[in-house]
Amino acid sequence: MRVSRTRSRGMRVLPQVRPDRVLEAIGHSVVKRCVAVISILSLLSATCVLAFTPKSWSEPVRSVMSRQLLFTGVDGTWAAARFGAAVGVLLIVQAALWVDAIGMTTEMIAPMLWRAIVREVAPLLACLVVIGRSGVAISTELATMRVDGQLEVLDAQGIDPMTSLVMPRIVSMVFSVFCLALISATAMILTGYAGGRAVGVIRVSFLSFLDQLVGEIHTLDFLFFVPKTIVAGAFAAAICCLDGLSVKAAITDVPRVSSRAGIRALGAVFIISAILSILIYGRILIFEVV
Amino acid sequence: MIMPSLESADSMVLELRHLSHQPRFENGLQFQNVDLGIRSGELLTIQVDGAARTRSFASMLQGIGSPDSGEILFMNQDWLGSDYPRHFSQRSLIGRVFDGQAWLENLNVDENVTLAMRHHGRTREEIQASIRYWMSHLGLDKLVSRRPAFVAPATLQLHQWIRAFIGKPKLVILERPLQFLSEDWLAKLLSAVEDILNDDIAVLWLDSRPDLQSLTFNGRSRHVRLDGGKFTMPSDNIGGHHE
Repeated sequence: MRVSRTRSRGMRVLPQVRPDRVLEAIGHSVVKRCVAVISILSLLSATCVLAFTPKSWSEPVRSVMSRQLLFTGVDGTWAAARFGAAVGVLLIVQAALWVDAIGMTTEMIAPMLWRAIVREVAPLLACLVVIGRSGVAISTELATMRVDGQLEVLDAQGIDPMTSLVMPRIVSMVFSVFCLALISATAMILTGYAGGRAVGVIRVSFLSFLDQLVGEIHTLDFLFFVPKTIVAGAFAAAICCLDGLSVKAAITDVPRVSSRAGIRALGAVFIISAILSILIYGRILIFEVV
Repeated sequence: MIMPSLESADSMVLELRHLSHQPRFENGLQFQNVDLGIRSGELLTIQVDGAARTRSFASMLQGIGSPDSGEILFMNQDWLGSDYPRHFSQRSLIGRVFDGQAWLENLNVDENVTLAMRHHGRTREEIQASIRYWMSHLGLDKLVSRRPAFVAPATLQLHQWIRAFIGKPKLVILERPLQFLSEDWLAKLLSAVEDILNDDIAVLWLDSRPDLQSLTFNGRSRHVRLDGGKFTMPSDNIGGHHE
C-alpha cells in the first residue's frame, strides 16, 4: 500500500491513505484468501477421490497410513486424555461458580457439561492435539522433503507424492481427530463427574449422572460432532500439507513455513467450528439466525 | 540429428526433438535446438563438464519439469498434458542413479530400494529374485537396513545401482554412477551395463569422465559431448574400441 506523508501545521507528520489503495489492498487480501480456500478444497477433493480408489492403496501407501495413524492417533491418545481430564475439571469448577452465583440447580450441570463437551470443547481439543503433535510435524517433513529433492526422487520413480505422502496423512489425521475427540470427551465427563462430586456440585451417583447425560443426547449433537471433527480435521491436515509443499528452495524457509502452518490450521479449526455451529444450531451465541 | 545408425521408431526409447533449455541454476545443462535418440539395447553416453549438474536435465527427461522448447518422447509418448497416471506409469519404466539426493530419509535403504517395485504392484518373490540377481552380480551380501543418513556414500551408491537395475526397466539413466566409488568398481559397472544392454534396456550415461568414449559394447554404444548447448561427436570416438 502506498502511503504519502503531508506536514500538518508544521508539527506532525501524518500518513495520508488513499481510499482506492485501501480498497485494492482489501480486494487483494480477499482474493488471496479465496485462492487459499479453493486450494484446500481441491486438495481435499483429490484426497477423497484417491482414498476411494482401491488402486491407490499400494503396500507402501498402506504402510505410510499405518505409521501416521500410530503417530497421530495412537501416540496422541494419552495427550488427548490428559488434556480432556484437565478441561473436565475446569468446566466443573466453572459450573460450581455458576451454581453459587445465579442459583443454578445441580440437575442443570449434566446437560451443560454434555453440551459444552460434545458440541464444542472435545472436537476443538482433539484438533489442537493433532495439530500440535502431527500437523506441524507433517508440514516440516513435507517441506524438508521438497527442499531436499526427496519429492523429486519419489516422482522420478513413478510414485505420485499426492497418493503416497499427502493422501494417507490427511486421511489418518481425520480419523485421529474423530477418535481423539471421543477420548477427550470421555475423559472430560469422567473428571467432570469426579471433580463435581469432590466439590459437592454433583450429588448423584455416577449411573444417575450418566442417565442424565444420556437423556440430554440430541440428534443434532451427532450431526454436529461427526462433521465438526471430520471437516475441521480435514482442513487442518490439508493446510499443514499445502503449507509444507509450498516451501521454496531454501531449507531456512522450513521452520517459518511449519509454524505458519500450525497457526493457520488452528485458525481454520476455530473458524470452521464457528461456521458449523451457526449452520447446525442456527444461532450466533444467543441470537437466532433467520 | 544424432540418431542411431539403424533407425527404427519401434525400438526408440527416448527421443529429444529440437530441445532448447536454459538452466535455472548455475552449472545446469544448457541446450540449443538439439536432437537425440536412444534405442532399446543401446548405450548413449553424454560427456559433460566436471562442474555440470545433470540432475535437472535427467528429471526433465522423465517429464519432471519441461524444456523451454522442443519435445521429449519416451516410448513414443510425450510428457505433456494432465494424464498424470500415464506419466507416473511411464516413469516407473525408468531406472535412475541420481546425482545428489537419492533417498527418502524416513525409510531404510532396503525399503527405499524396493519402494517403487512394491508401489507398482510387483510381487515379493519377483522383487527378491531381482535383488538377489543384482546383489550376486555386484558381489554384495545383502541390502542395508538402516536409514540413509547412517550409511556410507559408497554403499549408498551401490544400492542406487541395484535400485536402478531391478525390475527390468526400459531405460536406465546413470548420473555419475561412479562418484563416491573407487575405480575398482568400473569393471563391475561395465559388466552390469553389458548385462542390461543384453536385456534390450537402453542406457543413458551422463558423466564427466574422459574415458567415456572408449566404451563400445560391441558397437551398441554411442558417445556425444555437450559443448555450448550442442551435442558434438568426439573425434576420437569413431572406431574406438574398448571392452
